[in-house]
Amino acid sequence: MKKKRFYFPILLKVLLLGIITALITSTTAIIVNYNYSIKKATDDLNESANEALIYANNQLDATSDTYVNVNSFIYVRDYVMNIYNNAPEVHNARQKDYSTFIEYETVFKNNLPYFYADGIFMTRDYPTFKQNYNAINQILLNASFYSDQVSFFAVKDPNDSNRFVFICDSRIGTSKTKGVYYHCPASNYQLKETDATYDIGQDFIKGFTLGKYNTRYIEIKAQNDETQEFEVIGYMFVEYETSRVYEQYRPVLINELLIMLFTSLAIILLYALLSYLVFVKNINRLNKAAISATDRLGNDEKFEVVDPNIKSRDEIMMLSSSFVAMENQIVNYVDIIRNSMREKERMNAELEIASKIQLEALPKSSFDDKHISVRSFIKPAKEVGGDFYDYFYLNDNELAIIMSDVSGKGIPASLFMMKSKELIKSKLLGGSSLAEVVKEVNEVLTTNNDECLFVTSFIGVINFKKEEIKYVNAGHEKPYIISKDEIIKLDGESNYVLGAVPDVSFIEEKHSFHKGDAIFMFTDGLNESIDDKREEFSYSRIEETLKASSGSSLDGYISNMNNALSQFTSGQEPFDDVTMMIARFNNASLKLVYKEKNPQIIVDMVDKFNEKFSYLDDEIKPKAGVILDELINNYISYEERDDLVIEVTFTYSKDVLTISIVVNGHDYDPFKDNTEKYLEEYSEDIVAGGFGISIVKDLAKTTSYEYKNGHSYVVITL
Amino acid sequence: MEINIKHGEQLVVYLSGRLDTVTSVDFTNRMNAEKIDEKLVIIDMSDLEYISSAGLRALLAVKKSLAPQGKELEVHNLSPICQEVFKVTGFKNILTVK
Repeated sequence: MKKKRFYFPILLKVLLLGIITALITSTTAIIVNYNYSIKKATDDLNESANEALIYANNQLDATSDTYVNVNSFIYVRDYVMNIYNNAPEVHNARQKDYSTFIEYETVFKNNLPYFYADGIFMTRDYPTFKQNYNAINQILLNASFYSDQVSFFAVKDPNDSNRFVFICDSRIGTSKTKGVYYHCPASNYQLKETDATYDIGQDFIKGFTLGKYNTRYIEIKAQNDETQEFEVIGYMFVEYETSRVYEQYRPVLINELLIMLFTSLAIILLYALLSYLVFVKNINRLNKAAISATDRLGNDEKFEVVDPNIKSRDEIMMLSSSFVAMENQIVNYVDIIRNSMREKERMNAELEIASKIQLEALPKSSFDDKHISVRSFIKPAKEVGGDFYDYFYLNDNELAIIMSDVSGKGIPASLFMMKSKELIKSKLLGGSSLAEVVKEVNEVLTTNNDECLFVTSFIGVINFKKEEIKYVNAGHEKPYIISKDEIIKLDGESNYVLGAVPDVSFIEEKHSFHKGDAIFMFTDGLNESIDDKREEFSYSRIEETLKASSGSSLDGYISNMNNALSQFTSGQEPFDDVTMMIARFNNASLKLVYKEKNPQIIVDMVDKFNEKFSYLDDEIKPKAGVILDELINNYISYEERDDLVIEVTFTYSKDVLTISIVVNGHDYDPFKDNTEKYLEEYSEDIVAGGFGISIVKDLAKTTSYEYKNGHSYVVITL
Repeated sequence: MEINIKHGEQLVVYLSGRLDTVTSVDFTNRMNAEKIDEKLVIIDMSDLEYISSAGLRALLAVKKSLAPQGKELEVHNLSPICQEVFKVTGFKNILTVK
């Protein structure tokens, strides 16, 4: 049993395929779009940072009328650097590589002492510092209009060119920070210059990534009063966290993703619908047509072509037209098959009739007359066979018996069989000698026998007068003569088979065939039947069975043989025709002995007589019955002795039935002195007795009586 | 031996088998037991194999029992052997044979 497979319709497959495709394309699109968007967001941030930087740079341009701002910048720078350079906390912080933060207000309010350290003059004028600080801080605040990023002013650490000291922060004044902080970058805060160099004439904006920050800066230059040279007085930084770009992009990404998915889904559904309309619908139509065609074939209805009528101009249309072509072929084949079935049925019917005709051509399987009793059995292996048997009188004293087997089986054999049978019969009835008859039959069968069929035949003629059988065995199985004492195989000359060789002579033989003898004939279907070990039934088993059947009726012989055969072949169908026939020269004699005085013995006597002499004329049989009834009843009624023995013998010979009755009674001749009683007319005093002997005398041909050795002998002939 | 009796306008007795020493006793008993109202009794012998003298006696007994009542007895459809027996004994003279 095949495991039931999961049904996976095309529509579902198309949907699944669409979803996979949509996912791949939208993912690709989003990846492309994402990179582009990130770059754009980065560019936007850089651009705004640039603008902020340019603005601040312009505000600190020494050549412009914003000179005040430059001075403020320098004031704040120097002020903070003084603290940076002299405050021990700053030194410590610097050593430890971490950032520290000092609130200016705390410094001033607490009047911290290190403002005087190392002889460097530090003004305690906090208001002036605050004023200058506010001025440059205002620049950063204004720059934040261009960019909302964090911006700083810074100075290079005089002790370490890789470090910056941050002197002003745009976040000053917000709640976040109040003051300035020194920024001491840790070693992993190494500057890494990026490609974001931006040329703005004299100055350059440079970019670098510093940890998680993306930073852009510009050198702020001013003219030295003494040297008249432009020198870098500080730097401005604008920075943002790199994650900001992604944060900025995330909502856009989600939107795009959703739009992409919904659009794809809609397209997929549309695609599936279209594929249903374009393919699946047609396939379903084709399938429906195939199912209905199959159903009609199964229901044995008239098969008609069903056209799914698909006009899709694609492979499905081709499949559909192939299907219609196949249906047309089926219509043809169904016609051919039905015709041949009809033809076969007709042939079978004819064969059946032929078989019947053939069997009817054979004489009946059971025949009895005063000379002979015949029983036969035939079982063709096919509807019609090649075996046949026959028996018929040639004259009053001669009966022909024939057992034959035509080579081959089936119709040809059966036709040849009919021909042979009629030929043998007509030639035999023609009156020639048996050997001549067989020779003539052979000549006729040999002529025009292109099919080379032949027939083996045992042809015998029983002469009842001479009590002998003459026979010619033309290559046939040897029959058996079953006599009282022995079973003899008629093992004479085999001769040629009939129909094979022209111009040959046949040897006629004879064997005594006395009353009571029987002849058993058969075809090779019997002795050559094989069992499952391919062993033949053989003559020896036939002989055994015949011996075992000794004393049984003729029907008993046939049925014993059949039983032995089917036991031998284990009930398998025989592969050849099986035919057998037994014919007995009737020993017309029956002896019955009774030792009781009971009228019932008369009934038994008459029944047994009728059974044994069933073939006698219907005139003789009742006569015998009446005679027995009269005579035996006399003995039973009038003999006085109790050990009465009545012996009755019937003999039928030469058309005469003789009944002999021997009784151990007294000497009384029933036929002597018997006045024949004859009633003239009815009267009340008629005594109805004494008619018996009159009737016996009337019915019998002869009657006789004799008494000797204490027995009375009565002999009646009919 | 089979005996089938059919009452009606006339009594019809169908006999089949043999009417002999043994069966004539049955026949007589059966006829004696039968209540006969009909004027005419017909013995139909079309299926009778033969009749022996014992059978003839039985028929005569029936005839004798019917005669005083003024009833007739007829014997029909005799086979050749029965005809022969009737002829040789003269029974054809004392029974109406048809």
